[in-house]
Amino acid sequence: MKRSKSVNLVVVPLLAAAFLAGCGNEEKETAYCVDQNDKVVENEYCDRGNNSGFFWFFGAPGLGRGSFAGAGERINSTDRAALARRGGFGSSAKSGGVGRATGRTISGGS
Amino acid sequence: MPAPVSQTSRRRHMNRHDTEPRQGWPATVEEQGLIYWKTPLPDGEEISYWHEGAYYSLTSEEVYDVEAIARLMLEMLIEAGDYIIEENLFAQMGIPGWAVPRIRETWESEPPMLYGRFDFAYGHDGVAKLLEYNADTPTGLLESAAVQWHWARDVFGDGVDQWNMLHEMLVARWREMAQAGRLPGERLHLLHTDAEQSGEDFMTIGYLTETARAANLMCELMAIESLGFVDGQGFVDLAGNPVRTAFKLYPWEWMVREDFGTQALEHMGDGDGQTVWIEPIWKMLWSNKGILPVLHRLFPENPNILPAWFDGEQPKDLRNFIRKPLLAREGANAAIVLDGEVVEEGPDQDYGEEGFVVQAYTDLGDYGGGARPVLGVWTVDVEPAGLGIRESDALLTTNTSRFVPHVIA
Repeated sequence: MKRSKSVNLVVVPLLAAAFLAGCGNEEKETAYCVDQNDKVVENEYCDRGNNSGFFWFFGAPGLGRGSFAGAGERINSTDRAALARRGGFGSSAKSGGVGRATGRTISGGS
Repeated sequence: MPAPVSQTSRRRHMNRHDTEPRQGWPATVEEQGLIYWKTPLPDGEEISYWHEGAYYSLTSEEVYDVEAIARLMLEMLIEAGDYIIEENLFAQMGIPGWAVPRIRETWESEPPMLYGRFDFAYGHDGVAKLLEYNADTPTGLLESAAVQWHWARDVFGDGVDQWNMLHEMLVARWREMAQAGRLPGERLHLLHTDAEQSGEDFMTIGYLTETARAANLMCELMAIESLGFVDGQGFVDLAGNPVRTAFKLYPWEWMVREDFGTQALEHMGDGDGQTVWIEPIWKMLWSNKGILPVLHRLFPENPNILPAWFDGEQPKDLRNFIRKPLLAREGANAAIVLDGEVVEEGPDQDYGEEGFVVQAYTDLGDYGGGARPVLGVWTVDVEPAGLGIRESDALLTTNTSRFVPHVIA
């Protein structure tokens, strides 16, 4: 016999259902610099890294400077461990993924 | 009296058969993770990528034959890798110089690797011919390992055979790597790109998670776009946990050119603050189409290796060939030239900047109704593990091809 004795799928059906339900297309988060009153300010206040009183706020895209951040995650701008740089991988995949889908034109907004 | 055996049918017994699809198959294959079975076409139409209205049958003799060829290929690939390093062919293969030290180093130190997929033509002469080796980020895995396995059992019952040890061998490979202490960290991170929206990349990673969990590994899926880097600490996941072992369905040729490429090269290894990457970076040697002219140069008489050249080095009188970018996938930016004329081109995806290879044309063979199959022969570590067949109505196998299940009969 040259086939596997069994192929039990436990996680795969859950992931497939989650993806079809939209979990695979989450809105991207944007990082905003906010002050103690949750007001969006210039990123440079947070970028200094030694500027207490400013926070990174992670939420849905679209907030302009001066607007107020709602519910979301706040990280003190001096907390370096929590402030890992992200997004350093992925730029080449803008036109699609790795597999068969590379030739498709369904990647939407990106 | 033995029947006369013609030269063309001496070895090849593979056949294509029409058959009745299972009732309700779309829901079945989706539940098994094949949520990407529809392929949208540029004109808005959709075709089914999963095709169970037909199947291929092979004899066990020819499976053993192709398996032996794949095993031999792996040995030849090791020689080819040594040759590329000794002859310093990196620039000719479009591999950037800054990646070379790590490629050389990991080629020697052999960090863990998981899997790959050979693509073979199997035309009417019954001689499998290597088209390419997808060594870094092969897809089509879930449908090969799981979906066609279940199809075979549903349609033919428990006694059916299929060349498909993939699931067992992947689980065993994870277990072996873990037990040897080669997967540092508390958990295995599995990375996909969230730019891929059909679910194919996500479910490939999802299926690999299934196999790693079956080997008792703690797993975490994440988008490679979310991977973080902290100076002095290395790569971290969204919770800030160190990423010590990462499986990435994302090609090295992209990674080394992206913003985190430098960090990935500098923080590669099994120590604190470092990451073990699966597949290892030296797979850039095998997944690059430049491996094809190298194999031909080293093994010019081998019947399973098509003549191939770096573009510009081919004989002037070559009339029938396929020109492929060094780094593309799925037939992108490839062109088939017959009798000196371009007869077919793959989708344009801006590949080819690094250069091209030219490979002698081989007929995939018409197995009925114009269906031309490519044998995807899976490897786990350095062992052949199973077969997934994709067929196309065109000469070129691209992203509009169909996956068709098979049995050994």
